[in-house]
Amino acid sequence: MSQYSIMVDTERCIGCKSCETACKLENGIPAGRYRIKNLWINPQGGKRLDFMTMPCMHCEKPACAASCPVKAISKRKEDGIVLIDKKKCNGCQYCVHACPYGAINFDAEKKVADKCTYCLHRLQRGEEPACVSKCSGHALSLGKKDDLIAKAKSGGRKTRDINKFGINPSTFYLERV
Amino acid sequence: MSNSNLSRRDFLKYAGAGAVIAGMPSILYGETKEKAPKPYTEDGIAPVPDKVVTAGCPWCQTGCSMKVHVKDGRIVNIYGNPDDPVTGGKLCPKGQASIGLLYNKYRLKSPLKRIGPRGKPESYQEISWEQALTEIAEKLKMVKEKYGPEAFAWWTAGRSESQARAGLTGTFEKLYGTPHREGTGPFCNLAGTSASNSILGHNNPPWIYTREDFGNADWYMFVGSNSAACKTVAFGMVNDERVKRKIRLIVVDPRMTETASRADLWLPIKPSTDMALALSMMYHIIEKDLHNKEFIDKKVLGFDRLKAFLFEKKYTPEWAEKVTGIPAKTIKGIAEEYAKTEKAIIMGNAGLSHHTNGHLTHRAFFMLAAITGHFGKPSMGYGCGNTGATPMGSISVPPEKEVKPKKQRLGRSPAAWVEPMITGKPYPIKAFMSTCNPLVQWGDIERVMTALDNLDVSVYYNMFPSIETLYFDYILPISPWAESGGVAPVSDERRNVFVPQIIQPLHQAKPERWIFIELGQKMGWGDIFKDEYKDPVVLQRAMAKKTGFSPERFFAKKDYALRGPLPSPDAPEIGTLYTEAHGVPGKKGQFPRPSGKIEIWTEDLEKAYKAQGISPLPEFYVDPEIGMKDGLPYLEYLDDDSSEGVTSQMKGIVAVGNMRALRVKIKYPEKPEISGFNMYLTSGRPSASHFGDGSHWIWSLNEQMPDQYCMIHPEKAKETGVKDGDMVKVEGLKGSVTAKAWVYEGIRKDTVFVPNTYSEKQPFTQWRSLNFIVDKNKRCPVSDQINYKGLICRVTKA
Repeated sequence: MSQYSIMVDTERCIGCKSCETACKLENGIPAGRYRIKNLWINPQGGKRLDFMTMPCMHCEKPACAASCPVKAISKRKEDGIVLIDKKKCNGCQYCVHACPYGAINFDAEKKVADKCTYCLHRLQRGEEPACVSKCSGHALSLGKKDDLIAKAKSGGRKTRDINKFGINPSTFYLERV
Repeated sequence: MSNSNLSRRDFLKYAGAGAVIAGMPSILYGETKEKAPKPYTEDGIAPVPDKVVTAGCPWCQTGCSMKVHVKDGRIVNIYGNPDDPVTGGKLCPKGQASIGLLYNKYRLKSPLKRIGPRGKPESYQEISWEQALTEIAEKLKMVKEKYGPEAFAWWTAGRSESQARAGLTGTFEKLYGTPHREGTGPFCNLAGTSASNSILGHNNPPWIYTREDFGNADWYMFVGSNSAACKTVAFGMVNDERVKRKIRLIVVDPRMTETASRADLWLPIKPSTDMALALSMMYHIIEKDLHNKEFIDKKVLGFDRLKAFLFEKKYTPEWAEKVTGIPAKTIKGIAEEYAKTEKAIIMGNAGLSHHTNGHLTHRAFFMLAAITGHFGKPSMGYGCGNTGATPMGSISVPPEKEVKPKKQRLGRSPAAWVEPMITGKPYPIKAFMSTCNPLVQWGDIERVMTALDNLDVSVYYNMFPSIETLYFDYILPISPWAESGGVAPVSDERRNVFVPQIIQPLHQAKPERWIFIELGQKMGWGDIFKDEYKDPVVLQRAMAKKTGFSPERFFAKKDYALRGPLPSPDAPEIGTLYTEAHGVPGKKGQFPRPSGKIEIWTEDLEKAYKAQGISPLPEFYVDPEIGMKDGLPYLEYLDDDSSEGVTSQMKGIVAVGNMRALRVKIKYPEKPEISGFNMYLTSGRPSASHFGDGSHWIWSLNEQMPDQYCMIHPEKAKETGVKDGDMVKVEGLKGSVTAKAWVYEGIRKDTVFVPNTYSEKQPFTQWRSLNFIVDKNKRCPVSDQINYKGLICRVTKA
């Protein structure tokens, strides 16, 4: 398997939230729910204003899948994308609480959990995820994780360790320069 | 929260009662119970389109080309256009959310007529287009007969398509004979436009937003320009280059904007003092002998005058440190870097323009670029955003039919019309048509309400029942971009993108083009406002007969984009302006001033500025409130909007025909003249999601920055007892508004920032507009721009 990944460059992000709008349009997400969130992090202690873009982490050992009592969440073998089978989902929301990255939202109308798929339906058509395609800051890239890490390293960029929970997130972040 | 007569709650009450009131337009204020607005693409992922149409984005001045996805006759998604050399397929939130302008339940749906007192929904009755336009035409004719053609004023502001907004209204103006037709400029960046005209001889910045030009400098300074929010895709490209090439980025702004957060150096300047930064940088450069003598000798007029002026006034970096708060050492450092870096760009924007000193501040930065030789090649120069279009052609009016105004135009800013509407002096304005709403944008909102009450006829045409729409006699629903077709608003760098008509107009709304043609016919000008022009392609062909903006040329490009000036049908598109090879196409000389050179000072300029009490050499002053608070020089106004003033000598710079200008005097107060206000108040865009009032009517944009916030430094917040998220009262000289406190380290301790696009009648969140505290009478004497951004205030817990 080659794990797919979104690389988020925190130096390139300009906080425009184009990713949020792109995701909502492509995936039909209504007001108040998000599959991707662009957070503004207040400048503190002399640091600069920062932005954090958070799609699903598509973890190697997804906590959401582990928590699901009806096995509705699975990780695809071919690309490591983690998907929710909405037909199986019983709406218990264990996954919403289990995910330490807050990546899962709950569709209260249909009573199912919902999250980012890296726009798998677009990938299958040979297109980039909506958020990556439109990102005004050129801050998001999608690719095989190994390739993206190699690219970042050759550019002299450091990755940020966000694996605080030991579940090996696939989405990863480049530190500010 | 609301101090106006009519609160949001009242609105809903009236709207609810509407069902039992005969003729009451219940559609005016739609159902608002729905908590989570539905996505545009129903039931999950966007369908694969059966048609993809290229079109221009209707929002900002980056002028992006877009790919519009259509399925079964409905627009289902919008992507960037990878064939657009400016965007490379990127798109900010606004462009894609343009779908929300179309399928939006809050839209105005049919023409409405006021049959009762102003300000009440039940005063409005639905009428037919035929009745509305017949009555409006009759009233316009009556006003002309009774008061003369000058009594009709038309604010054609907004981001609607250019053929109708800029083209057809101009034809209408000539046939009617009024001098009072104005666009967005005086509320946007006319200060930059006029400064550019005055010194370079043309309005647009030198660069274009490609990687080869705007993206290829080694040194950037953004002054009063939050480009990450306002020119999102263009700044995203520059920032991408910065990460790749490690270029220098300096941002001058009282707060750490998104743009400043990417900078190597953030200079939190005191609001309204940017002119001092430019002056002192020039002082230091000349003192250190770092100015470009060869360039000055060949291309610049008035350098010696400037030098003498700077030294006589002692505009040293040490002086500027006291005024701006930026250390002299830093000013000297960046001045030296700038003078020594060939590919260096300084960009200004509304942060400079929205002040009483806007024009001269921009002029000072132009001078800084001129004396260091930063014009003539790609990736250099000074420029301001949003400085207008290049001529695209028009529907010509036979000379015998053109009515020349007999009276001088009353100022450049539509805000200058308000007093004549009320006092009838120096002569009355009695008819008013407007897209965009003066009641949110002009300042002194209560005074504008009084003005509307004094008119014989007032017409508002737009998409949404924006704030206080209900003060107009007629309200007309318009069809935006994809329903209308036409030409998208021009970009900073002269690019126009064509918009085909993609779907039919929804409800009873009509394109502005259709409205103006029908109205023109009812005025008796059917031979000029021809029916066939209702088709945007036919109209474009007719308008562009003498220019290169033909539909065929638009459609031949993969991005449907053409960059002016295209002074003839086969004129080639030119990138960088003011080069030796091209200058400005269609104009004479590398720098199309009368001399063909960059004009810092000439006798003619001196005469023109002196007529109003100022000089082309930028003598430093700040906005009146700040001047009074700090004892710094500020403008005193010797004329007001009801007086005759003087006739502007600024032809080709800012004057439109014979135009009244106001005289001023720089006052040097000996000590502070006002107390009790401990903070400076500045304003701007809330985030990249917003653009004026319009974006707040689209749920997916509004939810990204839903609240009017008050950015305040932690120390000041502590002093005031304010915690993050608290409601605060921001009290200025003319009134107060409430906002949600955003305790934020990245702002000057003496300054708060409150964004300026919110209003009480927006559907998702309601806030009293900051423009209630703005004084419409404090304007730049040259550009006539209102001072929105150099105010004083005190902040308390609400």
